Amino acid sequence: MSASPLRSANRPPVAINAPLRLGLMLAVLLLLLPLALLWGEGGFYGSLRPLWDSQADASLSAILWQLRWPRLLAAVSVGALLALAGVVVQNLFKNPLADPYVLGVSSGAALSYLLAATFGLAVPVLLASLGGAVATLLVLLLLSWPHLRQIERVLLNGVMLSFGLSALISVILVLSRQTLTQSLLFWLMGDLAHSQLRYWPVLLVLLALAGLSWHWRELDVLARGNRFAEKTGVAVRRLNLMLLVSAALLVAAAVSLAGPIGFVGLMVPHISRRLVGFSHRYLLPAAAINGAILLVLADTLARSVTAPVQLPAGAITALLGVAFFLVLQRHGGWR
Amino acid sequence: MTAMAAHQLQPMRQQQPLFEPLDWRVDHGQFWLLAGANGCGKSTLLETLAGLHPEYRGELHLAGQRLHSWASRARARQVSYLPQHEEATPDCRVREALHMGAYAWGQVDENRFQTVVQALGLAPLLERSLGHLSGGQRRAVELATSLMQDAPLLLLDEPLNQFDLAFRLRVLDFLQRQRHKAVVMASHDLILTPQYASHALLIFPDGHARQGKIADMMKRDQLAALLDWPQTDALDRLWKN
Repeated sequence: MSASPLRSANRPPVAINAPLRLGLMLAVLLLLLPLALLWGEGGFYGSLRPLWDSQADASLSAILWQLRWPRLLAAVSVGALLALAGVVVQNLFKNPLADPYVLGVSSGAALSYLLAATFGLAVPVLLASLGGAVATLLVLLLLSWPHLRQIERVLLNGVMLSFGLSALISVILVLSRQTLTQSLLFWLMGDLAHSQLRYWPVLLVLLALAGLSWHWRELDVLARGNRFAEKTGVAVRRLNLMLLVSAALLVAAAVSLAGPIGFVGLMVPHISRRLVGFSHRYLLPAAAINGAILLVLADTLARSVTAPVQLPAGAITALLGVAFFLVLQRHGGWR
Repeated sequence: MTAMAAHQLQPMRQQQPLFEPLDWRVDHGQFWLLAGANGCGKSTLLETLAGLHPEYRGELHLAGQRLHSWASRARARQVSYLPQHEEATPDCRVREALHMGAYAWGQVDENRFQTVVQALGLAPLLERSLGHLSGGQRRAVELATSLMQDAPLLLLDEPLNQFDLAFRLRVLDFLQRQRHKAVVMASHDLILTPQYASHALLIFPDGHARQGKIADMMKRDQLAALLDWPQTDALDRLWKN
């Protein structure tokens, strides 16, 4: 090889096989699903049989398909939605500390749900929080419209909005009835027990993944900076607007399904980047799968470890995620 | 063919023009050296030509069409720009970074990729991550990325600063060989670059600009005025006439 003026380190670089790793992640998720289904209060049900034979244990079968399956689907989709939103938000704001909740959308969702619950309105959780989320998104867009190129200002708007709404939430929590406060607090920590939508959220995940992946080249370029993207030929203003809206909608959907579950949107993108590298071609699907895995694990533990008392899924998610991230940090990722 | 034409151009900063109105035309096959003291407006001029600095007076045409009528992607196929400082980059691999340069074309031209990698000697670095490169190596990757964009007009803002002499010669030689392209390079280097450039645009401290063939521009008196430096023996030794 000809001498190069740019010397390389002696250690040869390790190329990562991102498609292989994606496949492995998907396999882990698929293996996890039946295990999570059969994992209950008393630990693991000794046999896989109830999965396909409803006669084997009729009561268990009902629990599996009426209670655990919808909940599992909710965990999969909420985890994936939050992780995708996290990738988008971190790209948009070029800030590793950004999580999907900086947009204020989740606080808006929580606030409108709390208001509905406090005043005893007969609105389903889903609609109440979705309404709040969309309203917040509109406010954010109105505030940010002139600054779509200076995205830091959008970030500031979102954070301010978020703080304001959170303050209102605290006020409402203090003023509402004690029994209500208890259930509201639980919801605020993330609660997957109530989603009955089954396949719709999964479909939304697939659509979002496909839509974002369609733009993976733009996302790669944009991640290197707004000015870099602009000079390289990306229509930055339009792309930023699209990302802002899609992140907000993903968060709105996730929060409406299960309350504001923390950590997934912040850390799963980081974990996934360490596993498959920088390019959004692999990062987006990896984040979706890892988000799903993390939330399935967390929710399964949350509902079984101290049964019949249920722990908040959000807390377990954070505990598991932090542990995993620290291990990964220590034992190297892709570099 | 004309790559870029400016008519009575005045880039603005905080509503203040940076220099006197400028008439300037850059043709394909020309290699322009853009020189002037710090703060005279070289960088802003390049930024303006790249379409990233919309505050200016006068008219600006890129490949015969008004600069701001170009859509982002089409413009990026016409003009490639290397700023003095790139934004802090996330940790991608060198190969990925280079591929991004070709974004406007939709796909990476493998020939172009090989040419650029070979010209700048980047082959040993391709699989390494940007975060692990030295400052000079990183700058080489940034330069290569803007070369991957493969536009007929190339705007380079002090691309040589962080390189050693051998690598500077390597870059200058490569740029000189791009005969079908127009190159504009802002630089403080008035020794080496003039050996390769065909033309020069000098921006003087009083805001006047002068342009012409490189041999006519690199005159002792003129450079003394450009640098606002009294004529000394040192200047005499560098530029004979």
